[in-house]
Amino acid sequence: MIAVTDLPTWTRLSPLVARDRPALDALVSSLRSGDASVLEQVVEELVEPVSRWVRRLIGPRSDVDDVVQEALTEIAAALHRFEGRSSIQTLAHRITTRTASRFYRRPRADHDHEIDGVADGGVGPEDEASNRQQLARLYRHIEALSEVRRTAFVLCCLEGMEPAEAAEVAQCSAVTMRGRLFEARAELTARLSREDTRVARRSGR
Amino acid sequence: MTELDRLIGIARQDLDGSPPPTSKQQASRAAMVRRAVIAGRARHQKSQERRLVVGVVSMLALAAVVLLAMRFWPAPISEYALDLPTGDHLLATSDVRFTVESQTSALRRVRLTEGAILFDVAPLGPGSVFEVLTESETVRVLGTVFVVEVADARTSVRVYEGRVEVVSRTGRTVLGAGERYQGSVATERSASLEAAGVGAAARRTRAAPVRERDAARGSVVVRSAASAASAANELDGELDAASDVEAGPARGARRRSVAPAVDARPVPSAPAASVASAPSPETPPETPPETTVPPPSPAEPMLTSEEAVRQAREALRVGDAERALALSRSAHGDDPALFFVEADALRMLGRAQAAAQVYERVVDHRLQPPARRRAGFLAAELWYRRLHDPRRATSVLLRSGALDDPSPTLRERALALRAELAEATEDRAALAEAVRAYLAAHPDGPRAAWMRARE
Repeated sequence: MIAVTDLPTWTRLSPLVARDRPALDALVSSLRSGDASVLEQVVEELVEPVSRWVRRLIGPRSDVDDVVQEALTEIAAALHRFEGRSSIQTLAHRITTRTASRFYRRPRADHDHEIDGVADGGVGPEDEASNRQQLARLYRHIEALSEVRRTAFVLCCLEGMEPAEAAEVAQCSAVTMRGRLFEARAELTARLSREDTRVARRSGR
Repeated sequence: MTELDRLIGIARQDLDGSPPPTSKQQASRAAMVRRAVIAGRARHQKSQERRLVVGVVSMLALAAVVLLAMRFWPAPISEYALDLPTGDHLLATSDVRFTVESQTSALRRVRLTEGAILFDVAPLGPGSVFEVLTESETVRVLGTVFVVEVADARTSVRVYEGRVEVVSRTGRTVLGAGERYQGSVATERSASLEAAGVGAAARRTRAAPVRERDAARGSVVVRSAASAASAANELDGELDAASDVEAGPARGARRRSVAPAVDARPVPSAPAASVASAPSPETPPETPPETTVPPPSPAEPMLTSEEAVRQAREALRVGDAERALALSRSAHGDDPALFFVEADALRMLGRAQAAAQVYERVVDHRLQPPARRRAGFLAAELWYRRLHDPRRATSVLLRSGALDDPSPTLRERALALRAELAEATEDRAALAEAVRAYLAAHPDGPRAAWMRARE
């Protein structure tokens, strides 16, 4: 399970936690009144997590920054209307997921994943190239999933969220999220298996 | 470890191992934040402007729809009865404006400014005159039953019995029974008085004693009257497109009764079928309405809901669905039992859709949960078995909560119905769930074999 980096306090204030409510109310009031300094600080604190979410949703591509910028713009617009019914983190995650979905719906000439580079986890250049290819392969198949299955897979398998937590982001029930995750894994497994079979046939094995 | 899990591990490592941002990247991020804040603010403002425009347009559209609706579907009309000391009976629509200018035995004169009035005029003595004045016409009575309506400053007259003389600027016209003057001017207000007019004309031939009793009273009495039997009943207008004649009065019309201009005291109303002045036009003259539904006396108070329910149930027991329906609609209140007897009566009369909709009303008006659950089940049964609409049946069954009723009997039947509906709508998941739930709770229930066949 991946340890999610702790977000700064503001973006994690939750209406479900009693002690957070006064601070959340104050934050809501500031944002809705158009306090620019508060808005800027909140958006700044979201850059890191949004970048990570986008990278996981669309893969490490060259146009990640464009999608991150779009997501942050949407989040900044939404914060003017923020009512504090969820945490800012959850709101930002929802918007980022939707922005990534729109990215997938856009017509793109280049369907190959341009993997900029896999993070250096202490592996050698050959392993890095191999990891890059594997990552490209995975995201090729992720891209072929339906939007709901893709979201479920990324949130639960790559982000490491529990289905209930992911359901809050995707605004569906936990049961539905578990179902989508199951279907996503099954479909990806089948795709990978078919691809392996094709590759084996081509190589004459 | 599967191939997929291996790839997931690589993907996670990719981001977990990301190095901290360089100063160049930090500067780039700062610029990204500034752009996001500026563009976000602009986007928010644009969105607010768009919402404002949409809101205004929606309001205008709604206003246009409401105005159109008012034009084509005006509010139901209610009527008021007025008895003059001279023995004349007037039945006026609720929007009427008139004054009684003279009430002597020699001259009875009414000035009608707006609305429609049915005049049931007592026999005139030698030299006596009964006149109705409008802005443009004078309707002079020669002993008769007639309706005068003023609409958009124009006058129409319809005679049911006897003769009237209409005097206008252009001349005089004498109308006999069944004849009209400027009939195209008449609106639904005159139509609402149609049955009362026919009934009054029929009654005249029998020389009813009521008029003499009322005349002897010597006081002006206004009572809120039920709408004519042929007028569209409010509930029917909502529920049923059919134009069945209903014996019951308009419940909503009674509640909205408003005193007309003439100073009078209200007296309790009575079910339409028993009001002597407004029998159903379908009632043949040789069958007085009093013999079909016993009329309450003028002093009898309106039925309480409990009494109405009791009498209605008794009527249902002996198969008199018409009377049960009339009684269920004669009492005030949101007692669920009233809705139930009404729906039962409608069902007995073969009006399945109206019955189903009355049951649904219980479900959707948030009455007591036991009533809602039972009504939801009954509505669902009708929608499915009689009206062949399994989707609507499913919707109302689920909304009502009948599947969670404490009563095992209702729960069992609701579950069985749920399974049937799921099968009818090809909802396999719901069918499987319902079958499982049924067999778990009622392994030896009446539908257990049916359920097992679908496990």
